[in-house]
Amino acid sequence: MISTREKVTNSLNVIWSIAQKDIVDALKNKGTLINIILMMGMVVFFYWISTVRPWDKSIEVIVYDEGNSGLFEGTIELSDSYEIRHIEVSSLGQMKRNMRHEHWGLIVPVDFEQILASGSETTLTGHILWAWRGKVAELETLYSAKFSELLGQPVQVEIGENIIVPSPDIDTTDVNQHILFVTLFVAITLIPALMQEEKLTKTMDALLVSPASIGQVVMGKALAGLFYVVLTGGLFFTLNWMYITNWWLALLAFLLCAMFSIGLALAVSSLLHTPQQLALWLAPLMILLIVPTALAGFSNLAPSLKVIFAWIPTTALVEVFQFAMSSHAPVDRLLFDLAIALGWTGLSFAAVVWKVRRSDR
Amino acid sequence: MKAIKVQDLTRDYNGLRAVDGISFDVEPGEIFGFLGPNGAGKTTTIKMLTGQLRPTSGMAQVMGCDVVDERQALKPQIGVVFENHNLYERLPARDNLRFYARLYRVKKSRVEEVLAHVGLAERARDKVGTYSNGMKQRLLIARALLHKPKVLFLDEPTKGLDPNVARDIRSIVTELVDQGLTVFLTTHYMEEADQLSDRVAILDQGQIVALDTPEQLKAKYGEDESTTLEDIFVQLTGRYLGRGS
Repeated sequence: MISTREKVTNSLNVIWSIAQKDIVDALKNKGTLINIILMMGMVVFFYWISTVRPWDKSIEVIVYDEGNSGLFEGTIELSDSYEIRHIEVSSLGQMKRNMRHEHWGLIVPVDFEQILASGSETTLTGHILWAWRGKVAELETLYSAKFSELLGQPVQVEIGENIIVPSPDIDTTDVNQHILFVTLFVAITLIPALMQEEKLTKTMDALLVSPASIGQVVMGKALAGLFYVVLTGGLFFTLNWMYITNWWLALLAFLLCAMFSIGLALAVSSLLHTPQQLALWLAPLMILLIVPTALAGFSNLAPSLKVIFAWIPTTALVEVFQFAMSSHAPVDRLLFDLAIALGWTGLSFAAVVWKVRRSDR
Repeated sequence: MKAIKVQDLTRDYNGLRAVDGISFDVEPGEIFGFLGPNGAGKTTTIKMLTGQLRPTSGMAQVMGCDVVDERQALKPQIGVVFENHNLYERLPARDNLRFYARLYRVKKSRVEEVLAHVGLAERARDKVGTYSNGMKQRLLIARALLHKPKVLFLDEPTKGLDPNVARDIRSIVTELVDQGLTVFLTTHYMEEADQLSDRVAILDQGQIVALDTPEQLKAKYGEDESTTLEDIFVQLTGRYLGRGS
């Protein structure tokens, strides 16, 4: 009689053996290898486009001009093709809400014109977003140089402790959408391909007469998929670590995102049997899951659509990621989002279990 | 204990009866030939006997294990050589076998043993994709023998192979039976069935229409001494094609 412990060990051995084989085999399969490289490339591209921005030679300044000096208006081009673009706001709160990417907030004091006229040393107080907290000295130097040129006399920009942690209501970057997109795409392109190949080459038949059960085969594929999801996610977080304010929440969001993506991928692979079917359904499915995440942030979105989008798991996951990059997470919204993501993940896995149980009928 | 025991085994597919209440036993150490035209239900029967497909009704046991209720206990008892070369073509032969060795919890040294047994030790490092059909067939046999099963299911083992390789495969099968293995063989080559099988069942439209030793079948259905198993097969299964009696 085999003990429960032995059964569990045997089962884990089978699942791990299948996963291990698929992890190695995926690297030898041109199709899956290209997908993996493509996704890794996309992570780097997203980082490059939203963080490095090497083409960006403009400094966007959100100006709160306390004394209405009118010194900072419109766009001013500097000597080295740099340009400074000003966006004026009427309060400190508005300034904080408008900050995106590398924008910085500038408070112009009431008596700024008199200070300038007196020729005495001028200091401006700057604010930057949490993500750039590691670049305070570098930005102070850059902004001091640029504003000295702009005003025609030495100006010192001081950022110091003026680090703005984004509010949970404001999507300051697209990083939360990028991580969802990458995770979803890795899972949904890789796992169904692994399953379909076993079916098409009939190696699945050999697996099913071996000690592996269909459930273990599915779990093995999921584990192989998880390996590549974690690999891609690891690269993502390595590059984008500075956006995270709450690592526990970020990791929970990533875990949920990975589980949802894998559950969906398994459901897709058990329902679609050929690469042609997969190719046909993949695009509409991705559009259905990705587009609402982009639209949900629009302030003028119809209330009915807002309600519908809130129930879409990807929208919920994007919001959890956003909370992980914000000053705090509103508990009611966080719990609702987690419930939505968990519910859909459970539904996906239930569909897979139902389908798997009927596989010998 | 019978190696295989089948009673009233039936399988329906979308309202069509693929296997229709078949019953037979296979003794341990026997080569049991299971013959029939395409679509007769041979592969469906193998799938049910190996636990891949649930019967609609009836009962089947392999080495005393019920194919529905004791599927996990059944798996170590059986080895299956499939009709198609279902191997991981991007992996070397040795890695293919090592993967299954891990699933069966078999020692790595057993992989080398079976590779040597089927004459593939020298090409074990090569990717399966570079193998000839004959080599793939040998590797399939090696995979099926890896865990020392009691019953070996061979689905068209010499299909598409040149006569020399087919003869090699047959000699491997004979050797295995000499070592006490039970073999359940399906083939379209009547000469092969005649030469290898201790007993033969002929399946037609899901039903067994004849079951006996090749000699007894020839004696029962043949007109004279020159009657071959193929003549009997055509006589029993060719009616609806308008060629049999």
